[in-house]
Amino acid sequence: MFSRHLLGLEGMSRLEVLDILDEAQRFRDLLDGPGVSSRDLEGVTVCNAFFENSTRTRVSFELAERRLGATSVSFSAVDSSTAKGETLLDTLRVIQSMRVDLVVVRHPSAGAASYLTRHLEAGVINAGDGQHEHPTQGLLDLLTLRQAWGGRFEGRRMAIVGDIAHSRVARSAIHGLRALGVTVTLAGPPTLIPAGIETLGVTVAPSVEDALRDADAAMALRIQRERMEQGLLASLSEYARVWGVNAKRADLLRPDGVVMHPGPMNRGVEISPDVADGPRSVIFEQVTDGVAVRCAVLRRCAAGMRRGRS
Amino acid sequence: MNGRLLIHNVRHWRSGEPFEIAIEGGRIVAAGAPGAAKNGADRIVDGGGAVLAPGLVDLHVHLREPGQGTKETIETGTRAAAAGGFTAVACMPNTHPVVDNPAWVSWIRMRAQEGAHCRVYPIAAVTVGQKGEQLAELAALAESGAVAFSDDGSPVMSAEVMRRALEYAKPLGLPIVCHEEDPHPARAGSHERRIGVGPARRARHSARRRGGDGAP
Repeated sequence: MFSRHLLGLEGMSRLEVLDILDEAQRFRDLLDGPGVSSRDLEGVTVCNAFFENSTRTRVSFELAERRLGATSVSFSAVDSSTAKGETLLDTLRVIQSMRVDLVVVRHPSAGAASYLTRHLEAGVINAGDGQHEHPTQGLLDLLTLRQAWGGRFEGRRMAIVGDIAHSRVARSAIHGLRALGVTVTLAGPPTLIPAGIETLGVTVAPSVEDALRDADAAMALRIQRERMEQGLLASLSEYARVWGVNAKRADLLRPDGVVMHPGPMNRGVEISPDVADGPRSVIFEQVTDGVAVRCAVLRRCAAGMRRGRS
Repeated sequence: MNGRLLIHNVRHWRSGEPFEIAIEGGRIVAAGAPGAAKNGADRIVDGGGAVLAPGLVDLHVHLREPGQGTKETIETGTRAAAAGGFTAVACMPNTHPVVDNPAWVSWIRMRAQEGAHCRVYPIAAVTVGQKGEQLAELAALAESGAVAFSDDGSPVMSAEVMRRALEYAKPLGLPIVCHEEDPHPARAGSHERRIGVGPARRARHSARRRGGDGAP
């Protein structure tokens, strides 16, 4: 029943998502204990292959692997042979030839992780493929919400604000939230809202205020400077003024509504410092939950790997 | 304005027929052929056979301020507008500097309040400096009182930039006004090509015709 791969949250069933969250919650509780480590991944070799820059996701996976007793190595594209012209597949075949069980891969092209599953024996965990999906981020968002919402997802409403078009974080979150019956409202400059996004089962609000009003949580997405060079935004200050999640707007949420951000934050742009550091913020809980979710995902994929072999 | 005002001896703006109206409390209370509205008038204005029309609105004027007061000012431009029956004008942003930030929109509105002869509605630029590249802060411009956006005679040539501008302006509910013209073919017109003068040489060409030295 366990797959050795995790490529995305699209199409994942409610029960499967809840199952992973249950397991992640157990790891989350363990993380708060003293000197926790387990042997769940003893004898399992993991390679973290990052073809795109990452700090938090990579560190989070590495810590999860070490906590579970895996043997793990990491490389990033800048110091790998891809700089010498080797293809993605060849690079990972080489890694696999060193008898690696699981590959955690981040790549700028959508579908990269899926492509690797067709050619590798190893289990593949997608750590972000282009603008497509970032499933462990989506799951950690759900784990944070599970705690903020006391375990009840049905009937909740989530607002996601910002650059939906370029966001794998948003896409994974949308699939996960929809699987659990959460109503999702998007808001952002129309230049950053893809046409037809409603087909994912979400609605688009005309303003950030409309999206946040009476929602149970809000997620502010990172705005990248290059969106201005691409003519998608006028300026960061105008973005902050029209779409930024500030204290006044956060107060439109339900009284116990929380504010999330996948990081890294541009304080004063998509989120104001008082909100980022305020009582509604669960941004740093998300980071801790990320380690727990990756523990759960690694353990499940390793289990899927073992089954495949037996 | 108290009482009832009769304006007579005028022609209807569409039909050209003799016409008159009565105004009371700022509203037209009677209108029609000569004699139809005359009852109870407290004041009478003789139109002298002029055309009577609703206040005309010109959506595309150049008041040339800020920066080009030698050509026109908000005061002179609106005086001309009022003389022609225009009660409101929307002024284009191709001034020096270009009206691409909220400070200039506010400045135009302030100047208009001080001494315009009709209502002035500023139109702000779509892109910074009307260069057709970087979107101007359309939300901030709208907030400061811009009624529309246009790069006017420097048309947004990139279809992508225009598409983004249309999308970006959508939640503001304000129109983007297009000056439909591709300036590229005109840059080397048939006359210039025949005599072998490129666009960059035009100034020198003119100087030569005026008797300047025109040395290449």
